[in-house]
Parts: sequence; structure tokens; C-alpha cells
Amino acid sequence: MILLVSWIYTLAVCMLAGISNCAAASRSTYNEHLDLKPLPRNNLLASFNFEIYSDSAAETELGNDGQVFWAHYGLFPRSVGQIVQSTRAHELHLRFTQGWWDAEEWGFLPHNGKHAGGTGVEVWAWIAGESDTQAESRWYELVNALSGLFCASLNFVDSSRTTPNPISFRPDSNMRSSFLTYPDSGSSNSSSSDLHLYHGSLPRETVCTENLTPFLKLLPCKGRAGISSLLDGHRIFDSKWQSMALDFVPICDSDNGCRLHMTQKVDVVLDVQRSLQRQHSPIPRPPPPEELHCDISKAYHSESICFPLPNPDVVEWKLSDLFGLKIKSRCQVDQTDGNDVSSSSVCTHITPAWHLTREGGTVVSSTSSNACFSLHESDEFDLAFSTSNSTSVSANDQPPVYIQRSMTGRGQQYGGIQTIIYNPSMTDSVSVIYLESLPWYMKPYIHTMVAGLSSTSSSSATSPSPSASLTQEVMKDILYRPFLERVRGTYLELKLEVPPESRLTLSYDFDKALLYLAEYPPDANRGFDVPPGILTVLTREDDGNMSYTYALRTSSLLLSLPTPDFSMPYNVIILTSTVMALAFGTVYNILVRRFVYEEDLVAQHTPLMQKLKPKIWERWKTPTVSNTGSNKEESAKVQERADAKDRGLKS
Amino acid sequence: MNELLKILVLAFAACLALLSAGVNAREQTVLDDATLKQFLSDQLGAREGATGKHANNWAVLVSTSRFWFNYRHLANALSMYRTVKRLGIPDSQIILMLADDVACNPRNAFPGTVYNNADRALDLYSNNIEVDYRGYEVTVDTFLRVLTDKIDRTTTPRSKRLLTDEHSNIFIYLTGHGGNEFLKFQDAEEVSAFDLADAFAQMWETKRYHEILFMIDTCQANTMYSKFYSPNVLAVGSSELDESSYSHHADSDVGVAVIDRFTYYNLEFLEKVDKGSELTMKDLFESYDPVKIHSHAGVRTDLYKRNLSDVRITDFFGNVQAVEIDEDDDDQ
Repeated sequence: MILLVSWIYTLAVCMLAGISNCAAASRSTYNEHLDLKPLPRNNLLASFNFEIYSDSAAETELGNDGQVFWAHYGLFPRSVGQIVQSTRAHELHLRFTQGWWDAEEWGFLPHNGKHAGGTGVEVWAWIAGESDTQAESRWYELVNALSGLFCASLNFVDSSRTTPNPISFRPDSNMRSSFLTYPDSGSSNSSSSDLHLYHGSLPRETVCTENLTPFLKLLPCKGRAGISSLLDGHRIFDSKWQSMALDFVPICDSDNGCRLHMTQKVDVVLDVQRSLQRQHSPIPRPPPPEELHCDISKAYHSESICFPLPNPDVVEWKLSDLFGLKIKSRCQVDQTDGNDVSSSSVCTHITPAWHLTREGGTVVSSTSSNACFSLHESDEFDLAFSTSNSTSVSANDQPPVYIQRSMTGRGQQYGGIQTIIYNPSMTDSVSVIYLESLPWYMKPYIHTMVAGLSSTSSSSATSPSPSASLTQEVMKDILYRPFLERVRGTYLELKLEVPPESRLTLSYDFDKALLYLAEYPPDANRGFDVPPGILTVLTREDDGNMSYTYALRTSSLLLSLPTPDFSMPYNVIILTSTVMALAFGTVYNILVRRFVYEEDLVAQHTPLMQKLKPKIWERWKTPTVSNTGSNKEESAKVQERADAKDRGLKS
Repeated sequence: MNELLKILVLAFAACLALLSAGVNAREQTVLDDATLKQFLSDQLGAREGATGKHANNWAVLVSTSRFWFNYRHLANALSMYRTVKRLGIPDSQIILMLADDVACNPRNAFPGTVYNNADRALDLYSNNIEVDYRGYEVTVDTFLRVLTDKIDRTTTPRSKRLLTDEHSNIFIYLTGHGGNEFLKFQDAEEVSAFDLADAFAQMWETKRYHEILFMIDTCQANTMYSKFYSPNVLAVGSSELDESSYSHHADSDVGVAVIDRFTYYNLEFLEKVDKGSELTMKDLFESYDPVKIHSHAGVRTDLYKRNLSDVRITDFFGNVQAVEIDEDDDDQ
């Protein structure tokens, strides 16, 4: 009561005096929270939540230079704030995900799928810009800056991997009411038409410790204290599914101005047996015979024959066994006036079959299915779980829709995609938006898209068959923009309504493209990754508006394109050079080369004196004969011989 | 017909004569390898301020190999990363380029871990690692752009740029598969020794380094530094021409070789070095034993002016600044 009165008083003083300092009445705060939920088959879903609120600032504080607004980087990390400010991003969402979420076993994605991405790295943001080109260039600046901050190759998100303005995403903040004004954005009320949404994804990107390190460094305790100290790359990346999410959303209202809100989440599905086994030995080894749990229902079960059960029912494990260490102390954040603005809690979602033993911390609430603890400043905290029936887990609501996508066809020229969307509900139909961004080297033929609906209820068993009325019922809208080679990929968004208890099968064909030599990655024979399809579930609210309630993604696909023989450029060069050398050489020889007799060559090259010497000698030795007749005979004979020689030469 | 042929031949002969005359005229100033090198060295060395002060240390550590069986090349680069971090160079002054990801590779029996020794005592991929260029980003083009800073300054974040000045000592470490005067990047392209030499020359011209320690662990590594011509470069390679560099040992649980011999013996020496160590480069180079390394490691010192016994290991591997304590009481 007193607190309330004092708060109202402060506010009244502020409004009267108009002092902008009072805007700091909304303090920066830090909350961290860990949710633990055992899943079927000895899995554990651990959801780490970190929220940072910055100091708020009234709108009037904004000067000509937008710098004034963002000056309060006490708790809120400056690195993210500056990136977002310089690229005029009004909302930023970043996801790092690996693994596969088994919806049939594990049910709803944590946080209704809003904070889980598709395999690889996914990023989307609302960017203010006067024109498309300006906003797009700011988008590229943003992804480049994020690539440096998070050690991921986000700089590869170029026009061919960006989808502008998909309808599958809605901003978390109410962008219409007052907004962050930037120095160059003309009007003080930037309407949502100035904002451009861009979505990019890199399905091939690996997620490893170098992404976790900067992620943790954004937290106030830098991963050294509190719940974040449990985040160890060796355990997180040894899980069945893990997703790291960062959401930057400004919260603005007329009273308190704008506060920056950053949420960081790490969701992990750990295999309990595997993680426990890592504690004993880093390498998976078969357990000794006495530790084997045998399936006694088998006919051949005996002392010497055992069919091992992989999932024991009686389990006992501690948080420190799974993550490798205990939480040493709470992450405490004090403001300059000594107030503690942080909170730290751990909650579990279990069934009465589980028994918890706590070490450190205090109990905040405890029911048969939900127990919450808060951490102490300096105590170590550990939680031990034990049960005799690990199959008893808290009920998982069935997700509203299931989706599965695969590639069909064979060969290196054509292929097909088949997507199956299944609505398990017995009474309600489900409205969904399905977004697919295909890379440009997958060339789909939308006219080949076939939708088949089959009912899964036991009463009727119809086979999928396309029909006009079916198309009307199911396919509400198609948003399609064809690809442009090497510039952008295919954008396909479908608004669908799947009737209750039915399975919708969508399929279409595509052609595979031939790439230029330089466009192949170094490991071209592995194939190319196709980004996951994003399915968003809509629910009609009471006021008639549709709200986005659930989001899930398919797995990414591996597309094998025809790869060339990369040794061919070398082969071609060698071959053509040889052919050219042979051709030139032959022609040159024919033109220029001349065969001569050796004697003639010798005669040609003998010096003049040597040629004359035998002649002189002959003349000197044999006196000239006056008898012309005999001379003529002789000379005729000589001439004959000479002629014969000539002829011989010519032939 | 005869006449035509004779004319053609005469014309051809005339051309040849002219050409040879031309060639002969230049015969006196033909640039062979040695003269060229000398000429360029003189030009570059003539720049004033060639012996500036050393103020900060940077490291560029590149592993150029892709695929799981090249685990040891990534372990090499990560071992050097750990060493320079241990000796004080901060992440902001290290550019680490890893061409593939082995720590979170599905084939890795130890997720999130990279070992450089079969005893698995030391995990190189600890919880504090920042890789600046990874995967497909590691190309010859990127590497040379990082060295020469011919990078798009509007989009490239500062953590991905080599922001050195003329007082920076840079430790450049390359490892991967190489050959006679080339180094293979990701099994798809290669960088030649000439390109690298030109890149260093550009760096000298744009005053981007004070001294460079160039270390390379590949097959026929010594050929890679044979073409350098810019001053203040100290180069060391793991094997001679026509010699291969070998891996040291394999880990049977990881399944592949985990470290190369040359790097292993370098690390053995560097483990003795700490931040205040007085050990010198001469000690390091003298510790190389061709019998153990199974190849002849080479050192090139002709471009490097200082005496190796005066150069401390920490001048390149660490980030130790010489601090002078001013004993003077007067206010200056």
C-alpha cells in the first residue's frame, strides 16, 4: 500500500515538474528462470530463460540525435543495442537450432514454438527505411554485424537467402503506438508502412560453442553465476534438440515511454541416460552385466541371455550430473542505489511419481505437479530427481497440427516435394499459414501442385483425391513469387484450413538447376540444404481477429544437384593445348620444312675455295684438248650424268 | 609455287630476325628471380621508419582443411589459439579461421570437444572460444583480404578485421595440405607463395605490421616462404621441398590423427613458456629435431634484422608490454 502511494506520488511529481529524470522510475531489471520437465523415454526438457529490461526513457528525452535514448546501457548489452540502433531495426529475432523435435512424443514445442527456429540459423527483423532498397541495405548491414557478434556466417544471408515480408511473422511489440524515432525518419509517428520485414535462414550453418560463448557474454553475469553457469557446450551440443533464441523487442507505452526488452532462451532436450553416462566415462561403453535392465517378458530371458531395455523405469539423477556442475550462486545485479533488480528461479513440471530433493535455495511453491525454487546469493543449488516410474510424465497437450516434409523422385534433373499436414483434433479445423522459401536452384512448377485430403477418423477411410471443391475448402490463399536465377529464390506462402481428423498432402514437382563451376561449395557432393518450411497456426479470437498461436518447422532437406567433374577444366586445358600444338606444328612443318640430300647440303655449305680447288687441280692436271669432237662427247657424257643427277634430285 | 614458298619463308625469317634482335637488345637487363627479389627488397626497405616500436600483438590462425579426417589441422590451429590466449593475446586481437567444424560434427564421439592428444587431458574447445571465420567463409580471397584489409569496411564487423598498425607484431600460422609453393584451401583452391609474398609486401607498404612471424605446417612448407621479399618477416616451415610433414599420433576413440608432428614439438616447447618467460626464438628453433619431426624444419632469417637470440617468444606469442617504472619524483 505504502509502496503504491509513494509510486503514485513520484509519478505525480514527475508529471508536474516534467523532469525527464523521473523516467528512470522504470528500472532496468534482470530475470532468469529455468524450467525442467521430464519427457517420455527418459528425456528432459530444460528451458533457460533470461530477460533483460533496460531503463525506460520518455519520448521527450529524444533529441535530434537518437543517441540520447539509447544511452542507458547499464544491464542491457551495448553490443546488441548499437547494432540495432545503427541499422534502424525495430525488432530482431535470432535463432540457432540443431536436432529434431519429436512432436509425437514430446508434444508442444516450448513457448508455443515462438522461440524455436529451424535447423541452422534463422534471423528476422523489422527494419525502418524510407524505401525498399534502403531497408534492404540496412538488413545486410544488420546480418553482417550479427555475424561478427555471434561468430556465425550470417554474412551469407544475401538476396538469394532473404525472404521479404512473409505474412507468417507478426511483430511482438505494438508498433503503431509511439515509437522509437530515429533522427532521419521525418515524422515522429513512424507508421508500420515504414517498416520492412526481412527473414533469412542458413540451414547449413553449424551451431557450436563459439555461438554459445557470445550468447552468454550478453548476460549480466556472463555465464559465470546463476542459472547460466549450467550452460556448457559439452552438454548442450550432446542433446537431441537444442535451440538458442535471442529476441529484441522494444516495449513502448504512453506512460513510461520505451524500454528495451531482450529475451534470451536456451531450450534443450537432454537424453538423461546419455548425459549420466558421460559423467562416468566420456565414451559410450556397454554397461557391465549387473547394471543391465533386462526385458523379462522375452521368452528366452534367462541368467545368461538378456534383452536389454534401453530405458530403465527406476531412475535417479541430479541436475549436477546432467550438466556437470552445481549452480554456485545466484546472479545478483544491484543498481547504484543498492536495490537488487534481479530474480532467479527454478521450476519443475513433474507428476506425483517423481520425488525431488533440493540442496540449497528456498521453496517458493510446491504442488504435486509443479515445484518452484528461488536461488540464494551464496549457496550452491542442486536438485535431485528420483522416480520408480520414469514413464509417468506430466501430460503433454497434443499440438494443434503435425507436419512432415520430404523429397520425392529420383535422378539429377527432376524432383518433387511432399508435405503432409495432419490435424489430430476431432472437432476443430485448423487454420495455418505455410511458408516455404526455396533456393533458386530448385525450380518448382506451381501448376503441378496437388492437394489431397484424406480423413484419418476410423469411420471413413478415403484415399487422397484432388477436386475443385476441395481446393476451395482447403486452400484459402496462395502467395507466390517465382524465383529469379541467382538473384532470389521462390517465395511460396499458403493459407490452408485443414478439417478435423484429416491429413492434407501437398505435393509439387521441381527442376534442378545446373550451377556455374564457381557456385559449387568445396564439398559439393554432399548436396545443398533447403531451408525448413514454417507452419504458423492461427486462432480466431473473440473479437474476430486472427492471432498467431503456434509455430513449428519441418526439417531441412538435402538436395543433391548434378555435380560436375571438377577435374574437367584441367583436362580441357591440357587436351586443347595438345590439339593446338599438334595442329600448329603439323601445318608449320608442311609449310616450312624442306628435305635435301646430304651431298647437296654438304656441297652447298662447302666454302668456295674448296669447291674451286678440285676444278683447278683437274684443269692443271689434264691439259685442254683441242679436239672439239671428243670434247663434245666428253662434255655430253658429263652433261648426261649431270642431268641424271638432276632428275634424281627432282624425283 | 617455289617462288611463293620462298617468299613466305623469307618473310618468316625476317620476323624471326626482328624478334631476336629485339630480345638481344634487352638481354643485358633480364630480370631473373634473384635480381627481382633484391630490387623489391631495396625499394621496400627504403621506407622510412622501418624500425618502429612494437606496441601490440596480433595473431592470424588459419586451418585450411575441410572434412573429418583433417581433424588434426583444426586441432593444430586450436592449439596455437589456446597458446596465444594463454600468453595474453585477447580474442579481439586474434583472427581464427577454421575451415570446418569438428567439435559439433556428428562424427565426433566427444561433442563440443577437440583434443590434440590421445590422453584427452586438454580440451581445446573450451567454453570461451570465438571463431571469426568458419566453414565456407575461409577462402583464399577472404584470407588475403583479411591480411591486406581490402575488405568492405561498411559491412564487415571489426571483430573480423585485422586492425593492425606499424607497431603490431603479427603471428601468422597456417596449417593444412600444401605442396611446392602452394597451400590448398578447402580442397577447392590454392594460394601460392607469390600471392602471399605480395600480400605481405602490401602490408608493409600500408604500414600494417612491425614484424611478422610466419609459421606453416604443411607438406613442403619451406617452399611457401621462399618468395617473401618484404622486410621484418621471420618465417619457419615444417618441411623442405619434396618432403612431407607427418601427423604425430591418432586417438582410437576420435578415430583420426589428432596433431601434426611439427606443431606437437612446437607446443612441447611452448608449454614451458609463460607470460614472463625469457626464452627466445633461437631456443625454439634449436629445439627442432629432424629425427623426431620426421622432416627438416626450416627457418628463414634473411629478411629479419634482429638477432634471434634477442627475440623473445612472447614478442610474438604473448602480449607482454615492456613497462618502464618511472622512479622520478619530479612532475614531468
